[in-house]
Amino acid sequence: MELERRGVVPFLIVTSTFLPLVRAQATARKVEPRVIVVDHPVGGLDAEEFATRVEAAYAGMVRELEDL
Amino acid sequence: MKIVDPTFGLPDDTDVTPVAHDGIPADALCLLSNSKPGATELLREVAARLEAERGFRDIGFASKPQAAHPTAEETLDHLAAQYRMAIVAIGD
Amino acid sequence: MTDVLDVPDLDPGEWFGYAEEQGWSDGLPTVPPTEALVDAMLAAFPGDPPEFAPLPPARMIPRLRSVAANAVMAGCRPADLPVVVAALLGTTDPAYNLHGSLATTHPCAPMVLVSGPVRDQGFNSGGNCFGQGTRANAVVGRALSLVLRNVGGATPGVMDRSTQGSPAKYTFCFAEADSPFPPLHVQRGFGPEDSVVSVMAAEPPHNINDHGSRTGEEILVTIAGTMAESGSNNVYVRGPHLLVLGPEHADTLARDGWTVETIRERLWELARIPFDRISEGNHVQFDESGIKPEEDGYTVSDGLRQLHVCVAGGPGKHSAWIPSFGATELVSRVVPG
Repeated sequence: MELERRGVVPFLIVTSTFLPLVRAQATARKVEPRVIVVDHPVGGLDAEEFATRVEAAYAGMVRELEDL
Repeated sequence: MKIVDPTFGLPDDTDVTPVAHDGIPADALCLLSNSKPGATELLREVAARLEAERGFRDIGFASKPQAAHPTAEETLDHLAAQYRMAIVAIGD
Repeated sequence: MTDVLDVPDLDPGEWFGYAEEQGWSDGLPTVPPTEALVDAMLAAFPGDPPEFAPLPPARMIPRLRSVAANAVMAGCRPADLPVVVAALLGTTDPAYNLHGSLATTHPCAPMVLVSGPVRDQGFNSGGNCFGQGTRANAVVGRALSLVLRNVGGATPGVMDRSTQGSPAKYTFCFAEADSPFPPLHVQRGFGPEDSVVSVMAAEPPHNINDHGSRTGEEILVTIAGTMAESGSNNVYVRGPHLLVLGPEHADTLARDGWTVETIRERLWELARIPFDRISEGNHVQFDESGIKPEEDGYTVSDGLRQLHVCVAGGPGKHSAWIPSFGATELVSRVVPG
């Protein structure tokens, strides 16, 4: 969000659990970041689980790029 | 009865001067990792696919020294001076 | 913009529920912050209102009146407000890393350590100093937490993302006791006559039980063993940690010629987390964080200066180790007055 205040377009990868925190922080900073939500958690996963997070993040990123 | 609002505060209106400028290519993209376990790997895999499938080149990378620390202002300024877009692993 | 709210006339039981519904409560009953009570508290505040920094995560800048309102709600006496203010000013020092300490999954709470003459305002530095039963300890720590919640927006589950939290998040305030060693605030460059509050984003105290040791050296072996905890942030985030010696342990150490400096040095030598107590995944994570083991294991933080030492408590063979969030510092502020 601090990058957005500096003129950079940020795409925030956020897990579903932390989405409320990120939304609240964005409101406090008066910014509207592009948010890509993946399942929680990202750490401590096996390879198969981790691949689903990558897939979701990539798909979300492609969607956001097409929306630009 | 009349009470003093315990939530009362004044919003912080401090502005940050944008450092991004017109000379940066429109597709200049970087990654910023919060250094939580798995975050850097996730960003790098997404970046690899963006390069392979969407034609991005020279995707930059920066990370916090550790998840618990805030991102340094200099790091943010440095990225903003070079890139138009950033994929940020922020919440995990 | 007004900071006065007109609320229904409520009896204490109804007010408890009302404050909870408004999201202003930590789960315990509060005192209604009526204008009269807040004004009385402000009238006793010495000097000009301080300038506060924005409080994360909501980035709102408190006024002294809203700090006083939360102090009233917590049960503070007017004389407690300057201590609350000093603690709040300490937590907003960038070195404290308030934003990180509030949004983290770690259970850290704002620890408030009171030093100097202000302790005589009823702060407990003796038996059960970390526990219940003393108004000043209870309400000052609680007031700080309420300000961070109500003005700063550190609402549990939304902005405060602690995985398990800790009881210290309700209140975590104690005073240091007179001892054979220089008080913490004097060690940090303040005068003995100064009233000082030191804050740190901290875990609750970890007890160090040592009834068997007969020498200071033996006690330090036990303390080092407690500090060598594989799951503490001080292992790989590093940062400050605090040793609170119980008076009997402190007396034994002083009798044997130990000083704060030599205690730090010896604990730096002794406190090692054996290599085989760290999982393979954590070895990798520590390595990525730039943390390398010494020959005999991992150190606790990155140098003896990260360990702070004070004395508090009553009779008994117990001390306490207080690890921190890691990405924080022990910050000291003079109490206005």
